[in-house]
Amino acid sequence: MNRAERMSRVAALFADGAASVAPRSLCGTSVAALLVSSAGLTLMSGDHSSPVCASDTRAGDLDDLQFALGEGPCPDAHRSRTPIFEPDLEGASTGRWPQFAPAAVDVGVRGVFAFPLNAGVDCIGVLTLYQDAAGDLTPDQAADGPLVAEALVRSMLTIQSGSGPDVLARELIDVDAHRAEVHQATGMVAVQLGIAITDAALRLRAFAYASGRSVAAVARDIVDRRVRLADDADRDEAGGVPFE
Amino acid sequence: MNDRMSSVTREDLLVRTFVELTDSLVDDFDIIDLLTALADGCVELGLASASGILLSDEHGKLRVMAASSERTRLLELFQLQNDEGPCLEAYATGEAVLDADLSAAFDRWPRFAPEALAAGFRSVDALPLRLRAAPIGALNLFSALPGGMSEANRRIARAMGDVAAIAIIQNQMVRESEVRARQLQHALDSRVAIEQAKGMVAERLACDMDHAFGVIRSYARSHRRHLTAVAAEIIAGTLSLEAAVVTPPVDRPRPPAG
Repeated sequence: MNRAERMSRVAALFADGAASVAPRSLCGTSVAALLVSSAGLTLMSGDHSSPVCASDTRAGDLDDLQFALGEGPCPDAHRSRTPIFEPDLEGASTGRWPQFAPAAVDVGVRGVFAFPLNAGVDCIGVLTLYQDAAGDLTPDQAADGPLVAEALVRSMLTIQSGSGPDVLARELIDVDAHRAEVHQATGMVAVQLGIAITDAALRLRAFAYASGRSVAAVARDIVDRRVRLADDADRDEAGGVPFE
Repeated sequence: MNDRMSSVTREDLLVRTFVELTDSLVDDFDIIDLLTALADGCVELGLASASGILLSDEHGKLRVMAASSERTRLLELFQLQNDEGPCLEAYATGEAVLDADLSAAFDRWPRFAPEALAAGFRSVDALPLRLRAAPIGALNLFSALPGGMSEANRRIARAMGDVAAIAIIQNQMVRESEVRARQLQHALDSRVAIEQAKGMVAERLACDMDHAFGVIRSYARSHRRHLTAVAAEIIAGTLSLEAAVVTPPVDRPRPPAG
């Protein structure tokens, strides 16, 4: 297949029926176009990320984990603005993601492939593909990946154009991902510890990691005031004290 | 002059011009640079003594985007064509104006024709630039010789016009997509900032998130500020939480611990 044929095939899949207007189906369409096990789509800006959709809960969890850890193919693809391929997470070359790689393997993922969603000079997000089996992408998958990324950029920008300049289109917010609580908890931690918001985000992640829980779960406890982060002087070993 | 040019040289020049133009379309390109190269190319290839590319702005007014020369007189000729002239006709009708003999065009263009003659031109062409069916501007070619272009030159001129139209459309698409990408990222940042500011206010006032949002929103409204700007100032610490709280929520007890 030449490039023009590939482009028209991908364009047809994404313009076909609801995909152009239903953001939830963007990941499913990407999986169908690329024939991979699962996929997650994340919107990104600087240090912020926001899940748009995932083709299954495992992909959603792994996207979330990368956000919580601050490591993985998705942040790497966003930073470098180039595709990041890891055909075998159990292989020797995975020292780059010491926490993410074993966690992904634990849930049955062997290969990860992240494509940046570049729009001109900006990178607005990342499409992360998850493969159950180890191995490189086929030539077809590798050739179609960037075309799917381009189609996703077009779809997401079209969806957002229906919303105000300051308002993220409702359809681009994954209501199931509970990110709002993470940001709210970050604000609470900043006040609790009297620190800057970026430091608060790091403290929240560190606290979740130290207590062996997900950032989302800890955030919910903070927002519900079951947990608060105390300052260094009176913190317990996990860095937090129960809210009184 | 072009007839005396050896065919090999001319073919070389033609190939080089088009290769340069299409090469520059592939990567990031500056649209004015490209259109200027195109206008220069029309003169270098012997299609015209002077050339320019005019595009309509959002009000439908034709503006000179590039010219083969910055001679004031030439620029004035382009400018004049917002009222009358071959470019206005080509833009308005979508049809090319070909080989217009300026000495015989005083009725057609009472101001433009004498001005163009006085500037040393004898004939003029205007080729419409189109985005699909819609006209977006015109390529203007002035000749110091009467009789206009050969059929071969006219085909080249049309191809030059097509390259210009493709470049303009490509540039618009990239620009639009960049603007939208920025808006999307701004919207994401905005949403994160508002949630974080809610958390800060909720912690300080020991209230729930809905109430915290109400506090931020009423501050923004009463000060005629955008929510995002207020949230950003709360986060940066330049707007104290106390100042943001116009009326403290005395009737809101802290929710019970889970």
